[in-house]
Amino acid sequence: KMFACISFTRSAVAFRNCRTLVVSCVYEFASVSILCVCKVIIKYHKILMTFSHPRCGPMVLDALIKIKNEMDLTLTFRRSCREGICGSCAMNINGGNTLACLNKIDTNTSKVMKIYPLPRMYVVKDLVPDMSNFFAQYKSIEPYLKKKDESKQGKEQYLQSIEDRQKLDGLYECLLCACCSTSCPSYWWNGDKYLGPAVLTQAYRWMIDSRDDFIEERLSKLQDPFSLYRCHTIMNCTKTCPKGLNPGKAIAEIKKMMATYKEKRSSAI
Amino acid sequence: YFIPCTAVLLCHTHLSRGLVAYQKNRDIEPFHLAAGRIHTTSAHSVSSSRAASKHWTGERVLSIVLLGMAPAAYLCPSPLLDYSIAAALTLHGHWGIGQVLTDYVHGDAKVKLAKAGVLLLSTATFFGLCYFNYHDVGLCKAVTMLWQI
Repeated sequence: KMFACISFTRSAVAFRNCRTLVVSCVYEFASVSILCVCKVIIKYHKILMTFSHPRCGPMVLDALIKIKNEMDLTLTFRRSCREGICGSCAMNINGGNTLACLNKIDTNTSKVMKIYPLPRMYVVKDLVPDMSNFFAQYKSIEPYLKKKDESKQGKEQYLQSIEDRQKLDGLYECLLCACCSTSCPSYWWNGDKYLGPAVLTQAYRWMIDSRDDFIEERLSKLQDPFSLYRCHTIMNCTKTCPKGLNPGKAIAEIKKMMATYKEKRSSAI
Repeated sequence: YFIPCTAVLLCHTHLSRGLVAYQKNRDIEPFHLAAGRIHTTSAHSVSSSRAASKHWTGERVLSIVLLGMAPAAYLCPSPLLDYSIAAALTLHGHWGIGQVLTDYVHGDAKVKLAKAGVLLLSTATFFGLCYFNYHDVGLCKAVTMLWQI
């Protein structure tokens, strides 16, 4: 059953001398149930409305906040830092997954901007996806430092050379916004078992951290057809990352390590 | 699931979306399904099977070998190369279609069925190519003949 909400247009009359920004957002309400006994319900909301009004910030998040304040108080979306560092406002804008607070509104007023929640995620409401699976997958790769010898824990810093620290550049900056994972077709079709680029990049981040001692264990956790090997280098992830990171490359490096790592007989501790 | 929706259009200052009555466990169920199937290996020792990475390496090696067979077939066609190409080609195709299956076929029974079907197909293809090599001109010669049409 599909329902489309009514769209309406509204344009400002006054303030011609001020800078005018036209924002069009599309989100309509539709709900589809696949099978009567099926547990899957896909929902996404789309409502079409256009308005032009001065004094709106330049980013899509500013427009969303303005719409929420002035037009539709029930519009629901996640947001926090408004500066592209928290990853809350990740959504699909004009077909690409980005952060709404970093995505500039197109000043070409004739163009419609389409805003959808992140693709193929269960929708809690409007633009808010259910991130539980994503975070559970992140937890499963044990994203923390693991040492074989924990006797020195807390006494002083674990030192690391400059070169070793540079290996973490481009990996630690990940916001876990899920833009990359939700842009990956393999994650769409196998999101339950395939970890996705965001989580795999973090797995790599811990594998190559020189202070971590459990690289072989981390690699052997990926020894199944799904966790890592659903990646077919589609590279949507790198294309869409709002922070300019390269998950595709990180995954390729994992694949290389998986092919070549030597299993050391781990002594019982 | 029956989902009632009401949409009311207010005056120009307001747009309200439809209200939807959700079933209580609607949101939780899909995730529980997903969470239950997240891959987690138990915290056992490192000595786990490396089948997955070996398979991946094998696929890449086979691709390169197959690539090398093309100029070899052109430069020095032979029955040995005929049978090698038959083997490499069918194995490459078999593994390739296997990856497609893993991507798109979900559900234990369907996967088993599809894998069996593809195995049948690949075996038939291999024996067909061997038959062709044995009773007919052979793959290298056949391609040469194709180009001379």
